[in-house]
Amino acid sequence: MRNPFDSARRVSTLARLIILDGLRRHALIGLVLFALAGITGGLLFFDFIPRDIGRASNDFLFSITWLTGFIFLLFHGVQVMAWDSERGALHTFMARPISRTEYALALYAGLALLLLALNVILGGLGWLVLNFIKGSVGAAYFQHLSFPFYLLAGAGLYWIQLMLLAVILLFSSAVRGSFPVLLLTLCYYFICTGLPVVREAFQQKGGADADQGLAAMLKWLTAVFPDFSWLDFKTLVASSDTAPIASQILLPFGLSTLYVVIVLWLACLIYTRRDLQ
Amino acid sequence: MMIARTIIFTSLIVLYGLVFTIREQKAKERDITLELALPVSFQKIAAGYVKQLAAEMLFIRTSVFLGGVRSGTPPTSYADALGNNFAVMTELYPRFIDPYYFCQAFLSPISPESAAKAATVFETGIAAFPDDLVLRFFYGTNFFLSMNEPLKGAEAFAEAAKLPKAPPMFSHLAALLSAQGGDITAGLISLKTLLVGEKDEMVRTRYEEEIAIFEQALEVQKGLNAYIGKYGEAPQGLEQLTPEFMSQLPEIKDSFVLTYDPPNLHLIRPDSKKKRESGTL
Repeated sequence: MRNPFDSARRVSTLARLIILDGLRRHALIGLVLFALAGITGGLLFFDFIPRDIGRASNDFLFSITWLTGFIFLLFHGVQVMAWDSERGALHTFMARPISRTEYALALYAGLALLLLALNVILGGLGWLVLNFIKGSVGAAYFQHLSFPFYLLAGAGLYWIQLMLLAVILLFSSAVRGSFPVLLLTLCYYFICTGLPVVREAFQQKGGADADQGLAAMLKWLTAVFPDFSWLDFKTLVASSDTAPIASQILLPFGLSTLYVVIVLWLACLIYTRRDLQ
Repeated sequence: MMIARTIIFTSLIVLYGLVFTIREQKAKERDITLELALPVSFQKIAAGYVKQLAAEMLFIRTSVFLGGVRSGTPPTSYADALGNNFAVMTELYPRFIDPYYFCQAFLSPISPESAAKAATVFETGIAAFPDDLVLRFFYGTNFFLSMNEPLKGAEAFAEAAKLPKAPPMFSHLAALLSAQGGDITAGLISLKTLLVGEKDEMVRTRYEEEIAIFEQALEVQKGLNAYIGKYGEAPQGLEQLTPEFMSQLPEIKDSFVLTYDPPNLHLIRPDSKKKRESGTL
């Protein structure tokens, strides 16, 4: 029986290595510069938004943060987690007294922390940019800017990214090669975004006479391919929309946390049973 | 050999520059077109978390087109694409307010069909912002200015007048449009309700004058109903009502005109009538 404290120490050590590796590859600074370039270029287009400047600027900044995080997940996360060119590193890690579960959790923790740093930097810059825009336009064009909702929207975005990261770990545990993992992750993402649309269309067309079996199947498929829009709070930041009640916040976060734990568990199970050769 | 390569390479660059200049010249002559946005379901799936930005980008694309469209281009040539794009961007992001203003300015006036499309766009906006008075105004005016549907306009304004901060103008417009659409009784009831709640003496006087006119028109309507009840069909002209059903036809003041479009009776403001005569209403 391994000592849990020793185990946590090994996980944190390896996670630190993952973070350093990410910094060495310029994953953080490169993406921050990419986001900055996007913000600078994109904000020029906002001369075309005559009224809802606050809302449009906020959506744009969160979209850039989302896109940057997505690039991080697909091109850095997948590369670090997948078993291909990094197999050498994987075997080196495995040669150390570290279990495969610890290895998988350390990978996840390291990348999650890097992602958090990326979101915090971009979130801080975004907040400054929003305040700058708010100060430069008339009050009628940018009426609301809420810091608590900004934090909530940032947390929602990070939770979505954590779910994707967990799924990438699961695919990486089961499939060899970064390209198949990337393709599977993309498929997973588009199923997640498409399923709510399919359900909505199905309900609109079928109404009360809809096939209950198919409706139930679509519902449970959403449990496997979650609807990320539940964690999308960005529209609250720069609007007078009604504040969500506690359950509207706690349920999505609670559900997605459970989802991440289950997926990580599955990934660790597969890792422990996989042949590394 | 080296010189020959240099000459060929230089010639290639010159050729590229020439072809590029020709293409740029052609681009100036080319008509700007508005591309039809993909269906909203597709956009929702493809854009996912950034669907709001997708709607805003579509709005920017559409507004850039509207700003750069050549003078003389018939608006009907791009009406379908414009209607589709406004519908897509508002369904994708109903709480983004700008498209509704552009829709009112650019889509509604094109044709009654475009105005009908604009009405569905406004319905999306009203569902997202039920208390927004500007959207309610757009929705109501769209019916009677662009679609020649005064009764629907009256209905929209009557609904909007129930909002807590609705200006009295909404009820007044509902009354006038009811009469214009042929429902003089509904218009009269609305006017009497307005009169009860009004404190300003000048406005009260105006309402009282309008009520008097509406009551005169209602008398004609009663005469019409009696005629139809007796003969089973509507008269060809209002003069057929006299003297059997009315001693004489009332003289309506200048602010309104009583028009008879068998079997319907309309009480129209002169400006609306002019528009109707010129075929724009």
